[in-house]
Amino acid sequence: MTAVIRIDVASPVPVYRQIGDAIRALLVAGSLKPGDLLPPVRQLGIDLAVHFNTVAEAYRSLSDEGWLDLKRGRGATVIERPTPRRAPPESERRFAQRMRELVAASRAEGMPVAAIAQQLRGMTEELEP
Amino acid sequence: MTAIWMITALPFFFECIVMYVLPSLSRRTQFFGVTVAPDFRETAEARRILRAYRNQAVAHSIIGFCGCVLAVARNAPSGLAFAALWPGVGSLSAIALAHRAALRHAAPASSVRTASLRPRPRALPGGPWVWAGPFAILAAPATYVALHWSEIPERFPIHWGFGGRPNGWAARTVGGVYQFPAIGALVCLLMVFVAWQVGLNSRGSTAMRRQTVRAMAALAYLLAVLFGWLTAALPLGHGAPSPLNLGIIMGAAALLIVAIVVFGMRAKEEPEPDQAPSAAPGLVLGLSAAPGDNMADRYWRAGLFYFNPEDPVLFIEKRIGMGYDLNFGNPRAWVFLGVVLLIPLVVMLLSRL
Repeated sequence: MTAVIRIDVASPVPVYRQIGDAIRALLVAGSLKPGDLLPPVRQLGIDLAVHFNTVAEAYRSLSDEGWLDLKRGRGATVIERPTPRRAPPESERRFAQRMRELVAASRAEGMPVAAIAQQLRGMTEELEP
Repeated sequence: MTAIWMITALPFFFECIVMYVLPSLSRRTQFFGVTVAPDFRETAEARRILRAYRNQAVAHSIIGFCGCVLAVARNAPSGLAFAALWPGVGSLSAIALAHRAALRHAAPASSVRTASLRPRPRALPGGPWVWAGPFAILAAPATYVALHWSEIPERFPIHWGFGGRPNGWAARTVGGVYQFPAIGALVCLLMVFVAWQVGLNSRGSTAMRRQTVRAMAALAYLLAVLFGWLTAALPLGHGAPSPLNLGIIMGAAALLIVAIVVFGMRAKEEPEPDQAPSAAPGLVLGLSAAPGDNMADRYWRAGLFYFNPEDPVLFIEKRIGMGYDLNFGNPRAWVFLGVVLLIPLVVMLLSRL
């Protein structure tokens, strides 16, 4: 397993969410597979120079989503998570809303439409089995 | 006598070389502990700061050596201690001055942090047998001395003055005879603890972590051999200092330091196993920036001491030189330092038993 996560402490997004989002992206992409062991909360906290509780919060949210099995003092293990057969309509609406906000923010920063479209296409291709 | 003077001059000469090259043992994006642009080192200002630092470092070594000569000539042990400390303390103050000058050219620190999701091994690298070796080395002469207990005189010399005359003695008691293996075991225990904590509780490149643990092991073996020799030699009357004895000890220490520097430089060149080599590395000796060391310069006091209470790390890769520094913002660092300072106290107590 070679997986690296990246956070930006200057970002307005809380660090625990950035950690959770980064690990989730690796889980969805298949870079982390069932049975893989994640580093203990202390180790990841030290490597990212953030408080242990911040990492613990990220692990807990991923555990609540069914991605991780948490064992005290032994880190977290990736577990088999059945993909929900169909996302509830609320989930799709939330996704569309967040995507619209993200695209608007990127456009406001001057990112060209073609670049946004290319990024989205690339991400969709990565998700396809 | 000439040999003794040459051996006395050696540590000062060696320290002078180490301090002279020290700024070159940093990443290119760090100059005297300050984050700078990768091409800053080529500027006239950087060269001026470096030249001023090196002049001061050489001057402090010369002052230290002259002080040492004077102290010996006047038979002043306290002056000798002062002279021996001078080059180190003087060079550190020169680094602090260079750090202050470099701060005017600091580049903004990055807010991006990365981490590998590969769990680190929790056990000591090399396995328990590697780390048991130094203790076995200490146990062997201790057993030898126990078997030859009757040959030990009631009082034996353990310290010698400038003229080579003994001026410190120990009695044939358990405390007097076994103080050397006990001190050796304490120091080796400290090496084991540092190696274990650097493995678990540090931030820096994987290669530097591995190299530091190896250096700790090598140091533990060297010290075990030294204290083992003292254990067997002093009570049986073979420990009087001679140019050969001192030369061997200093030679071994110098070899170890050179090995640490050479292997440390190689370690700094190794890319992280989980990350592609940086496209724009930035470095002296072609090295990429140390992983996890994009913290703001304000946390690095004088470029030498890391103080960040918000950072949970205990050991962090040095910005100047090889190895790790303590995070003095972490209360556990002060506990660790307290334990280290307790060792001389234990030594004193042991020698009085």
